[in-house]
Amino acid sequence: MIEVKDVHKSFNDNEVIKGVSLSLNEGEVVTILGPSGSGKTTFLRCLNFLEIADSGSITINDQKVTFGEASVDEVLQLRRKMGMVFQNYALFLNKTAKQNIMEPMILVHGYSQQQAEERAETLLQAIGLPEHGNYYPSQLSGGQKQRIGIARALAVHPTVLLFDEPTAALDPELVGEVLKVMKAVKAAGVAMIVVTHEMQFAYEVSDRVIFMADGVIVEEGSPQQIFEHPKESRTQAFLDRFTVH
Amino acid sequence: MNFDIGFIFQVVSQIVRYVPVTIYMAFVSLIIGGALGLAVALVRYYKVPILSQLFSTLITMLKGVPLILVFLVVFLIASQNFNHLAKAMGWQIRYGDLPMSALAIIGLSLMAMVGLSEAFRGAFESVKQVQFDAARSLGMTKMQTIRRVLIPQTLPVALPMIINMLINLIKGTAIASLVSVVEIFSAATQAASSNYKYFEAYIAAAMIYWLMTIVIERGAVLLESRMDKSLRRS
Repeated sequence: MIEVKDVHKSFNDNEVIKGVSLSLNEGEVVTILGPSGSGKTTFLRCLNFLEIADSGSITINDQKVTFGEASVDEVLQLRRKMGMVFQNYALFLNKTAKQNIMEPMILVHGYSQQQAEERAETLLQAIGLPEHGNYYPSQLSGGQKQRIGIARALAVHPTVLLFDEPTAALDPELVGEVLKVMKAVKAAGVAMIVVTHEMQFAYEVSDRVIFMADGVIVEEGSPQQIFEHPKESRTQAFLDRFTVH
Repeated sequence: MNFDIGFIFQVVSQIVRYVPVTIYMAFVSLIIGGALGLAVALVRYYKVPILSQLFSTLITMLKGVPLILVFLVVFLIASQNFNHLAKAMGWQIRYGDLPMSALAIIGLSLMAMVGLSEAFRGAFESVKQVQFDAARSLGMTKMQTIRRVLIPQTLPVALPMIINMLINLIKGTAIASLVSVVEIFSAATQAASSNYKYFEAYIAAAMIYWLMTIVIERGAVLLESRMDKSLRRS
């Protein structure tokens, strides 16, 4: 359903993504782990054309787009099938929580004001913030902002949600509330690609774990395989740092 | 030299009726200059080829000369060429029919465009990259992003500079007397021409200008505090 083939990306002469491929079934959750500088965030941003990859292609449902050759319209079409959740929330500061969620529905997907409002309220309820619709981002905690960010990305029924270290900027006690929402998203059957350092989440929630380093996929498998019996020494070395003995 | 306080108030009462002329010229110039300045700032911010270099040269040229020179050039160009233009375009209107305040507004708009384009450009820089990432990731077009994200987040940041520009424009209208618009300053000068009490007349004019700028500044404080609530940076 989602097929990413042979993505390459360089910044100046420095190649940071060296041919990464990935495929994802409907409702599947894939977690990408890796040391910082491994290119995992860049890879994720390439999927959404926030960075323009040098070569490779992405297919979502029936639409295939080749990086570097895509027209503005093709990119917009493709983006509208994806949602993205950012490390620093990226809520529109000039809009309330509810307006943030409604914005893509009305502006991009042609919902009526009323439809958008109803869906926004349902989502606010689902993420446990039914009373916070009229708050501005500056009045919300990090965890609340990230939950709104997820609701906004989810509002337009994307085929896949991309998460770029969604809990990395949060205080430890706020991580749980965000992970809980992410689990609910999985339960609702939305496919997810998650870049994270939350090992517990990767272990419990993912269907598949990918370990990336130096711009390539080093190892890929079920959470049990990767966490309990990693084959590659680099994977082992990376995971050892997170293991609590 | 006798100082005639009574004459000050006499002049004030005479020139206060020109306040609307001044306010009109300043506001219209602020709106035209603001729209042009926003367009220039957007072109330069998005580095539109050719246009952005062109605008940047234009702004540098206009910024580098005194306002009075801009006024006189506008006046000269208009007085020498308007009739040819009107004839060529088949308009009925002739130079003599033009309200002189229109020429003043052109000059003041140019000044406002220069100042506000720089103010907007600075304010654009205050919008964080992640706001654009969010807009793009949601599939918003560039125009939607400008309209719904960039401009609404820019205005509160640029507001103090916009208000400052309005005050500068109000003071700048005094130069319009050069192109024979009757406004506060020239009316005050005229009032003193019979008895030579220029000092009192100038004080009267200053009092009117002070009053206008104080009202604007108070209004601006109210406006800023209202905008502040929604846009406190997180």
